Amino acid sequence: MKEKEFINRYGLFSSIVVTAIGVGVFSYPRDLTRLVGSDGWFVTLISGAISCLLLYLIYRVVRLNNYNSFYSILHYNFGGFLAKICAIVFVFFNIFSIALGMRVFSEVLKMYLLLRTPTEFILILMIFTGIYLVRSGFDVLVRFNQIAFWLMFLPILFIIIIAAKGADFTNVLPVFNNKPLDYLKGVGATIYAFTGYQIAYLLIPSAKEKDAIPKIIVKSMIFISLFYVIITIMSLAIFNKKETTNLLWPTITMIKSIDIPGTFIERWEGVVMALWVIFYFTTFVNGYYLSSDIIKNAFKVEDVKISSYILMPFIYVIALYPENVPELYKISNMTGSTLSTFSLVILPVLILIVSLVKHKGGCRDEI
Amino acid sequence: MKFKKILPVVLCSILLSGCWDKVEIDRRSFISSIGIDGGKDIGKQEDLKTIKPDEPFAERRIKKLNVTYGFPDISQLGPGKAGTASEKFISAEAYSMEDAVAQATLKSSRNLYYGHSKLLLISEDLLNYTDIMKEIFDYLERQPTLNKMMMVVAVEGRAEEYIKFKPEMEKNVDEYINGLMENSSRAASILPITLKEMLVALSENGNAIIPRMTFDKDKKELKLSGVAVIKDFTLKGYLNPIETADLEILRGKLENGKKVVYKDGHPVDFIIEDLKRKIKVNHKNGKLFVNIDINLEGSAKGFYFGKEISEVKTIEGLEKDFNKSLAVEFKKVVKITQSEFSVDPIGIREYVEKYEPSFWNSVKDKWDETYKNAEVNVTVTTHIRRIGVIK
Repeated sequence: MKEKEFINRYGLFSSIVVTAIGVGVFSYPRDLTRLVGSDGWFVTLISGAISCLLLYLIYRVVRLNNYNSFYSILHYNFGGFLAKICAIVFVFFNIFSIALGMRVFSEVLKMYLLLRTPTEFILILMIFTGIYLVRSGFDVLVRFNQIAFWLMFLPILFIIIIAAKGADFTNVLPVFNNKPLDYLKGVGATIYAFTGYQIAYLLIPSAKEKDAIPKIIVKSMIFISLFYVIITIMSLAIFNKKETTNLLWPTITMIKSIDIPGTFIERWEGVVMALWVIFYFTTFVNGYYLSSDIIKNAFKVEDVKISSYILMPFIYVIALYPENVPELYKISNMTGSTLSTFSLVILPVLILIVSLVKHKGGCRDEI
Repeated sequence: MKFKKILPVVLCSILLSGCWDKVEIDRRSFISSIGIDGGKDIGKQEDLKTIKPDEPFAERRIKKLNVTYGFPDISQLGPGKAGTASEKFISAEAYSMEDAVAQATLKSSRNLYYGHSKLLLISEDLLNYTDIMKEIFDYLERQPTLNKMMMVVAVEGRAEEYIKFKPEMEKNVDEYINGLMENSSRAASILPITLKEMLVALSENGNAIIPRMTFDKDKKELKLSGVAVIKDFTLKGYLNPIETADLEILRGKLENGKKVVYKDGHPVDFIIEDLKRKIKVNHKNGKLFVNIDINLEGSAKGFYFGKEISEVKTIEGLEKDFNKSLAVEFKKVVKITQSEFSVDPIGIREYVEKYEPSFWNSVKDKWDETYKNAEVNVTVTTHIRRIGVIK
């Protein structure tokens, strides 16, 4: 069932970017600054480079297997049973990260804006909205990503420029004042913030210009890394090292403490929260579609419309599982890292090796 | 088919039934100023340590704090009426800040809202209780809805009196004090600090400087008088307005200020219009040598009728006088911060941390001592650029 090729360069770029940048950006500067102090920007660049390699790996795997869908690749290389297990783990990883992200998102929303609205209600509403978009189909989703990209980054750019007033950029000093081991730890903690690029499994087969893909992959990863670098530097410059590690969500508190004398906008939360909704929603809906699509292919479900309903209760339950915010972050750090290592490093490498050795050229047929 | 018709109705009842966070604006009371005083039981902090964490009825009435909330009388606002309103107050005796909110809610017919607060007054008496201050600062930082950009002022006496004070120039005290703070661009001895800046400074090492305010009961006047120096969450001492102005120059933050020398028995005022500060740091055997270079630029204002200052020589002489007197003055202020407070408000600590990381790592644990023994040298270069419209 090869889909017709309709994704242009910009569609590919914006889809990868909006999927990778999600709620992770709320807490991103915190862990990073705790581990490596003012060298966060450097670690971000390393993490970005590693993620770029992993994304390129995905591209190689898909290209080697003649641009087939993710499950077809699994099926052809591993056989039916193993492929199903791998697909389930992969889907579980996706569901897990979007569900926990959803919980973070609803906690933040509850803390700043909707004080008395039950968490369950926010979750259900978010899932329903997601299903609506997933049901509209893949091409609509990509269109949505293209529009959301501007909706997200134009206002953020504006906010960052304003926030730069009164920031002390010398806080970024001193540079390279850490032990090498700390940098490794920092990379380990931050690389999770880049996940989301596995959406490429879905995007690459439908991309129009196959030759341009590697270039776009690099571009999108550079964009994501730079965005994280800017966010880290800004929160270091506005707070200091200690305060950044102390805050649960430095990025939000940073925007809250912007004060422009004489302007008509004084309290930003409303505006900013509306922005974050899109930040999270794009991550959620892309991950959701990817999972639904894999489930559809793996279990021969008729349509994405139906497989998305199958996943719905899982998202809801995982999102509600953590008791409180610290537990939420503990779970997402622990389980998230093992699952993502498997799904994003081990699995693509395995597929690559198997398809190189066994089949010499990967699968040509479709399922 | 029937199911399809019923479904929207069912969905409507699920999705439209709740409006949890609805608050009508006329049911809301916007707290504009918060004053924190010590309560009756403030001395009993030690007793509280005997309460076990698992004891029941922990909410017994211990009146550690007395918090006063000021809010504008919204009925005075509206189209065709004045832009500001006079204030009303609620006080609450409580054992913690959150308890104060609860107590105030009991006395209020409206929903109290803290997102628009502009002013936080902390009584100086309270600043001596380290444990309580730490509790309060933690609360202020943890609250997401609290406006982090409000001004913080330490007040002599009870903060409640300040909030209830009716100033001459404005209808309410938070407008008045905020106006005073904004004047810092015109008067050097005001060093405004927002809640965010204070929390950042405190989180760094527990030290901060907060503007201090006194209340003259006879004259019915509020005035800013220098800063209170906080070290390890405890009030350590004060700097008077002149020292505060000097400190601000040393920090390189001054926007506008005034200095004076006497020539032939007459004052010559020098208005500072531009300021550049450079720090240079050296270290030898663990001892710190700091060079602070200050470059001042501005104009002379008034001398003595009939006498001229337009001669290049006269100006150079004046500049020299300023250089000398200011350098000595600044050095003295630095000495005070070193020996009396051993707090470093100038930013030498941050400078060393940023630009001399290896040295910083070696003195990190004994910074207070290092700063205390550091040799600080201040050089001032004054440029009188303008002398007014007469010779």
